[in-house]
Amino acid sequence: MVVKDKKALAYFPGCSLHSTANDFSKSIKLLMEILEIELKEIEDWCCCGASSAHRINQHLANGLVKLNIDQCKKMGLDTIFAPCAACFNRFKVVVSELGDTTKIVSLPDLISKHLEEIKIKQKLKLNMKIACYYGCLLNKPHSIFKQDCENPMTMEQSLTELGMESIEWPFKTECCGASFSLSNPEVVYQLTGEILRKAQQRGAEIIVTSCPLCHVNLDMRQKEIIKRNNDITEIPVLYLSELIAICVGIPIDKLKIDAHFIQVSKTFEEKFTVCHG
Amino acid sequence: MSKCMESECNSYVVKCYQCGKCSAGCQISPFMDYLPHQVVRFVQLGDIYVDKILQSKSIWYCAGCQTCFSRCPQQVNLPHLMDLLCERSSKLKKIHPEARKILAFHKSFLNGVNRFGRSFELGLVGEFKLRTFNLFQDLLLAPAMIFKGKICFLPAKIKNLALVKVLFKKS
Ligand code: SF4
Ligand code: SF4
Repeated sequence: MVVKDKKALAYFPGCSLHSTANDFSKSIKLLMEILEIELKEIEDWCCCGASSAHRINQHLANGLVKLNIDQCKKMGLDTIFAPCAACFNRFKVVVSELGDTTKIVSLPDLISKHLEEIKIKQKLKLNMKIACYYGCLLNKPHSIFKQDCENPMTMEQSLTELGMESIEWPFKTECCGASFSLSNPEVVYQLTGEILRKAQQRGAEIIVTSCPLCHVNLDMRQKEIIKRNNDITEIPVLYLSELIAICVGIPIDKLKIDAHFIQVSKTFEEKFTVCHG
Repeated sequence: MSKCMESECNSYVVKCYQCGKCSAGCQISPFMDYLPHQVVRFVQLGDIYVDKILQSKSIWYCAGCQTCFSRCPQQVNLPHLMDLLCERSSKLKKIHPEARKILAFHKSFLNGVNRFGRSFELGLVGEFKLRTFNLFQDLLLAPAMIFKGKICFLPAKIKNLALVKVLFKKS
């Protein structure tokens, strides 16, 4: 079923998409245009506080998210789309604590909701073995998300429907070390190293994620990790929105995939084949 | 600990029966000085034990990944307990020496939010480096990040900064 009455979504880009994850942000904008989903950026949004605020100041952490929810209400919107998994998680937790009715959607949710339409518009599919990586923040804690947080399948199901192959692996919700990227890179090298290794052991040729913090660790820190572990080789990490965008016909050079640290291979484009039907 | 925070912490730990499932699945546990279930136990015991925990590495190293909370048979919200203990540890200045850079990161991050309403990566990195005297870490990544347009040189300041500042003041 194609979702007909498309209401505009309040869009919360968050700080990452505004700076370091400009590649993620670009793919989202282009993809939403094609899917004719109207995004209204929350006016004058402020940082959600990320993992820092709730670590040292509970009152501040909830207050920052609430400011954004109020702003969304002022705009007359009832659903917030937060592509960054970390922001998404903060919003979900605060909305649930406040008993607020505002709906919060993540990128994998949105893709899965509009799947029929994506199928109609789909031109290409990727012929590589894909590891879908969720990280910790898309499905946990269980008390709030009420879904399978050990083995989520939202992304895999969407990719299968689009004719692509994803691997089964046990590390899809393991932690990558997130905010320790700057304060304690050693933790990241260890945790992210395990994730990369496991994906490759299971035969993955590419990793797909929808969290900019995970992307920093999996992509930007990858060369350093490879230096420390000779059994890990380079593996490109794509945002889910980048992959879907290419599938619905957005030319690769319009996206900012070359801003990733691990470059896709020269033959990457040839790995896509035309879909029929 | 303050009475109010103590009773809040206690309300989180009363149901724990020390099965150890939280520690079994915690990816960060190799970096911790007390395992997650021990943190809970010490809070249950109170007094000097709580003091030990406030000075521990564990509370700061917890990544807040929510795995233990999702799996706990008694729904003990351990990551939130860790948050409360960090807040307390930071207020009482009991931070474990090895955790100082983690706190420095959080403070640098929030300072940016207080000044601009949003995080400002370049300022964050700069302030973090100054706070930790760690000027050379990741220097090699910087040129590539600039080249790839991943670093903004100007902070984006929001219009309604006053509302954000009120939150910082109140807390
Ligand atoms: S899993 Fe829950 S009940 Fe078991 S030791 Fe940990 S906190 Fe206690
Ligand atoms: S939330 Fe903290 S204590 Fe619990 S599993 Fe994750 S890192 Fe370990």
